[in-house]
Amino acid sequence: MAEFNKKHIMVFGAVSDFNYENRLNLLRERKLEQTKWKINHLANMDEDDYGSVPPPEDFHFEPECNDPVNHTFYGAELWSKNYSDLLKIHPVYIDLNDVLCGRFMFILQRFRPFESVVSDKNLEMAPIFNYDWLKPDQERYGLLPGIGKMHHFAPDYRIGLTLGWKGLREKVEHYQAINTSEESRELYKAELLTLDGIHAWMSNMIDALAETENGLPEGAVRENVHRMRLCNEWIRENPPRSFLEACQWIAWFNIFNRTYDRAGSGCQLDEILMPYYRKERDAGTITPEDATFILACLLLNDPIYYQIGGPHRKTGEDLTNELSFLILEAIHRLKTSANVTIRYFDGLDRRLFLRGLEILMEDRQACPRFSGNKALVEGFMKNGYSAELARDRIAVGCNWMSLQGLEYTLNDLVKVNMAKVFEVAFHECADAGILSTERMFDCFTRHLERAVHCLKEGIDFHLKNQYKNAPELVLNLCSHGPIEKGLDASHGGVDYYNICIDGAGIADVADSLGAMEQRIERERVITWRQCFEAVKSNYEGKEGRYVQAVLSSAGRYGAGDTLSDAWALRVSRQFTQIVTGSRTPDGYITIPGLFSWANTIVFGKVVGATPNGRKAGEPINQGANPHPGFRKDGAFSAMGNAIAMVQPGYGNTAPWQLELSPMIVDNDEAIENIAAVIETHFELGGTLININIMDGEKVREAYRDPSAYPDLIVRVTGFTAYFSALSPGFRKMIVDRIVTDQ
Amino acid sequence: MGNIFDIERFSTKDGQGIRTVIFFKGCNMCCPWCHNPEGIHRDFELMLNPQLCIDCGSCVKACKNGAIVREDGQRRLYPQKCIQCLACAKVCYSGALKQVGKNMTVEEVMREVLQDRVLYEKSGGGVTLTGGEVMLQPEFAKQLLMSCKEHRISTAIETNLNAPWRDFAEILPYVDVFYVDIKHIDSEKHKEWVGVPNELIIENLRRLAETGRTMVVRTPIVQGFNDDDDTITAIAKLISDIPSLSYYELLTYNPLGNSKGTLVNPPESRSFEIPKRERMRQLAELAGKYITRVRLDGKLKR
Repeated sequence: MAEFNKKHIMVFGAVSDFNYENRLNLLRERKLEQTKWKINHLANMDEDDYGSVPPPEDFHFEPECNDPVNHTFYGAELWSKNYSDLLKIHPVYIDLNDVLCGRFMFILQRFRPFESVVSDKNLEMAPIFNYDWLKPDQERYGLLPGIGKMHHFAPDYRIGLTLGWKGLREKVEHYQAINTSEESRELYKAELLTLDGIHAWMSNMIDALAETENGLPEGAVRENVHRMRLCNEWIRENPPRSFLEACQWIAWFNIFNRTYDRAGSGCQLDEILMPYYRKERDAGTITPEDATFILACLLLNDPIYYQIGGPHRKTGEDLTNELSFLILEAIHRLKTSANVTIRYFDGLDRRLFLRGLEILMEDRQACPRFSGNKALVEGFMKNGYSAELARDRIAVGCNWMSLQGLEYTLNDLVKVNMAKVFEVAFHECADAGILSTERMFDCFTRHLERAVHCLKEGIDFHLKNQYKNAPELVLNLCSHGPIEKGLDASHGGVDYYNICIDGAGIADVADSLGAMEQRIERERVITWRQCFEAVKSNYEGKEGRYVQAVLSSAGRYGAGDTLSDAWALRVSRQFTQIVTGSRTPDGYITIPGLFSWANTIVFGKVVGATPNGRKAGEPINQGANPHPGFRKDGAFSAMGNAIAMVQPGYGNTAPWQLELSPMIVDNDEAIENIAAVIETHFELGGTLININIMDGEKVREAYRDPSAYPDLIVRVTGFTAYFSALSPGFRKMIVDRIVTDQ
Repeated sequence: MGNIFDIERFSTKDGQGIRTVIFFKGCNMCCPWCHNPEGIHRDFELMLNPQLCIDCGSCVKACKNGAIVREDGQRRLYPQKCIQCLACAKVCYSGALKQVGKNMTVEEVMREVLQDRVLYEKSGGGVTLTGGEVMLQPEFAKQLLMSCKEHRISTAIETNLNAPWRDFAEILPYVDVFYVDIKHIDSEKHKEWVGVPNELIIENLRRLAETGRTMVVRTPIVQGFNDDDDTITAIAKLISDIPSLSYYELLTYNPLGNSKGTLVNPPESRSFEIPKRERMRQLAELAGKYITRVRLDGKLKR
């Protein structure tokens, strides 16, 4: 086994005028440099901006594989061994301007073949676990089954913050003596090896901090490193006592989580940190300024998803506290990508809501975003859960909600490309001479049922085998149940299994049905034959272009009160009924959402021309959003109404992805107006709003020359990313989405 | 029925809060800087966006007057032959030929309006009637305003005040805020530039002030017409003692109207230079000597 190389201690120098502002500025600049490196050295990053930093050039790690043919490894033993080996030699990162130490550089999951948004091979379930019988329908309907996928559920940080790393180890050892099945024995052994790796990395860090401290002259910089070392020495074993220690503990847990499998879900940050802050504030050992800086460093460390505000799970009272505002202030000062959600509800401190909007509009970094408590809670309760449990389900992912440490969800991983399903139905009807939108919808429904059933079978397969493929060794430690039961979170370790199934392409389906009903059945502008032929020809030729113009100019989903709006509602209801109407064959609950994540372009590539005028291979619509250009004006409010209308309503989201031109927000009432739109959307049933305030001209320039705007940040589909890091296809998708008030 | 050429949802510039704006076709002025020129003529009109043409030939087949023909493999439009029957627009699905103006019933307009009902409540917004000139269709305007009031929706109208007072008296009970344009004090100059003198306008302004109805006075600033100190001072003095004046707003000339597409029979128009920001601020400050609340393009000058 390789040893830690002291040459891989990376120390970045301090700014000369060592105050908070200057330190943050330099940290931000360094992050931009690191992002540039990632853009130049890695493939297009059509996914989150992570807090990862470039590794030393000479660093090398090779995992051990038990499937050498496919260059992959599976099972708790090798996952833990590889993870531990990586952590033991992992480079150490210290930035003297920071108040927290450590950054992640690798994702162990990606040392195996994995499915990115641009790849078409899912080997994340090691091939030894064969599910070939599901593949024909998966391919036929363009399904993303989620089989073999990891994380995408929330831990409960309080477990780790209460026990500390030593306490977690003792907990594992305690239950190791109780649960002695083969599965449990393997899991506990793996968890202990995981903890060994964690301990080793932290120890290397502490040694490096000591060495760095000794090499610095007396002064503020050395004092800062001294504090870092003391902090880490304590939390290497013990639960945190202070605000700094708690934030450093959280940062470390995030780093370990990311390094394992890219897990990025956070917590109710204001609630969890408040006891530490209050204690120190009352003792006079911390100021709001200190706390803001520490929070800024935590947010910079990694743009993990956090929630602030919202109702207390038991009392329903507002969780907003002093820290909620300091977190917003930290975002405001940081001015890099961050993923913080304000949970809007009737009892929310309106000052937090308005301050969030001010920061969103002033900084234009797409943060914070907003979730709608009412629909989320009422929806989740429909699955048979209490309001208290529903309130505890927080927004800690791109589009998704999760109970902290209690629930396994496969959020954002299981998707049905409804545009593809519709394409199957459309051509089946064309070939069979079925000339009716109603009957075509029936055909679509049958195929959708089959597609969702295939997904449900895949979910069962995943839940049966995932623990043998890729157990959640880090998340298990901060979940309720896996350690107590000796079972991986994916295999009975937690109490709740609510598996998310997202539908994508609702606008393409609705606009297609609406266009055909309007132009063929009602107005008789074109015939069915013309429609079928034009679609099959991909709208080529004069006749094809004419039919395309006829179909694409029909009333669209989102415009308000159109036939396509009515179809969108029917599609959503049908999809919801199919997903919720029955459990998986093995009895797991499935909850619908409408979200395409970053698969919008990839999904579109596998769908031929559709009768809404869309040509073959063009992107499908984004999540629940109407297609751009659905309405020439007033798109903002019309869109909000439409998306509220199609919410599945069972506690998962159908986010509203919204780009606003600064013209819309450039007046004295802008904040109140945007607040009114958000409140209206949530009152009408909306669940989540992601907002970008974007100057159309600037974005178009950035599209032409991304390097001209290296610090332009956008919320792509729920996650934030640097615009320059996105692929051209993704950049175009964002440009096309901009709503301008002409 | 009303002749409506546009309904715009989520407007933040035509009144308080978030509003749906109903554009009435037809105007009794002809301002060369108008950024809604398609609102000036009272009849339905044809608008062209040639870059959207897909050359399907449907318009050629539809035109009974030979105004659109195919020559040398290209489609050509002869405006002098166009009788604006709009048969071509009815068969154009690419948007290259569009009909501007449509007869709508009150119910049809209200179906659109009511979609944002919750938003009006939350934002303090409502419905704004504008144009063109609203008061050229006084009966329809009244019916629409009454319907808004039945649904407890706040109302506003934007008007040039150049209509008989009796028509204003009819709608008074149903309008919450009047947005009135005062473009110039000098009647001769007013007539020279916009086609009508301003005596009726000033008289109606006086009468409206007497009713106590909340009003906002606006002046679009156009270089060479009214961007001088004397004109703005005179307007500010004129309106300074109106008790129900909410604020006075100066609007920078907006050339957006030039990019909407081309009318086949466009009204006379000109391009103007956009007044410089600094000049607009100076005029706003000048007005501020007489009026407490002055806005510049939606923003309060403090």
